[in-house]
Amino acid sequence: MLNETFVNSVMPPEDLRKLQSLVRKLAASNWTTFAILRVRARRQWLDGAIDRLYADTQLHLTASHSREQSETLRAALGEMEGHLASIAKAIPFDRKLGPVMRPFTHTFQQIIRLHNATRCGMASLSLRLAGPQPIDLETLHHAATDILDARERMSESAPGWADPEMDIYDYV
Amino acid sequence: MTMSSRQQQSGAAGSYRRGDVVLVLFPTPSGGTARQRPAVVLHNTEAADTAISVVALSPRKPSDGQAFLIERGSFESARMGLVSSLWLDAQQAFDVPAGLLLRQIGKCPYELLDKAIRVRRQTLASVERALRIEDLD
Repeated sequence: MLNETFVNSVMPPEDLRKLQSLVRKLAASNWTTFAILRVRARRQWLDGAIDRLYADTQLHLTASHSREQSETLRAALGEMEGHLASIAKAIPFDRKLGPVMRPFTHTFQQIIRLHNATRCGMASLSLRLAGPQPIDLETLHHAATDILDARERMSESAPGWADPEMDIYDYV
Repeated sequence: MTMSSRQQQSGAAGSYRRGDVVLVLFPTPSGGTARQRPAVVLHNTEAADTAISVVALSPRKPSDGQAFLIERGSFESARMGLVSSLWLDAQQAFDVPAGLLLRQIGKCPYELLDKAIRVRRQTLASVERALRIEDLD
């Protein structure tokens, strides 16, 4: 379900592809089996501040992990951090994308929190929502793919949509 | 409460009917803010649908195929909630993630919708025939 929504306005295509690649790596590493990171998931929109997201984090680590696993995860999350920061920065300026971005945002929040935990030297090789649904990286990946596909379809099927004269429909 | 007003109030993807004219979020190639663009829903949908088939309403006349011009100020344009002259090319349908549909702004008149869908079916049929011929070859 995501959105071209991922939309250029929120994330450039190259960044989205990088994010997809990272998500695939994380999913392939089976990292969710190592430890449990419980996050108090607040389904609110990103109103700006990553710092606020950090403050909302509640961690309950219950398992250990190998040094190698930890390093791998930390490296992947570190690479992702830059993308997340740019997304969080862009979102407040494009609230129209809210309905499209929300599913992603929820996941991004958790990834940001996870990264924060690893940076603090805490064991966190898996993550689970405190809510009824566990984080689903596969769904995220599919959603991101859907958005990329949708962007390409729109560009091919509606070339006139890029014309500035059509911006009048922003005010309809 | 009409379906239209309900969708406008919620601002979320809901169920749409064939022929609804909707605003779709369109990411601009330049990376700027996403824009709103009008499109016609091709099939009835449910709230749980993750993708919705639409036909874009575009200011550019398609180079080939049968497209219909909806002139600004016409009955059709007013009924569809449009504020500029646009082309409806039913051959150029594509699926949009449901989350990109913002709200309904109008309804495509039945006659126009019927003509557009007839053209689309003819196109699909010709493509299907061409594929069968290729299979035989």
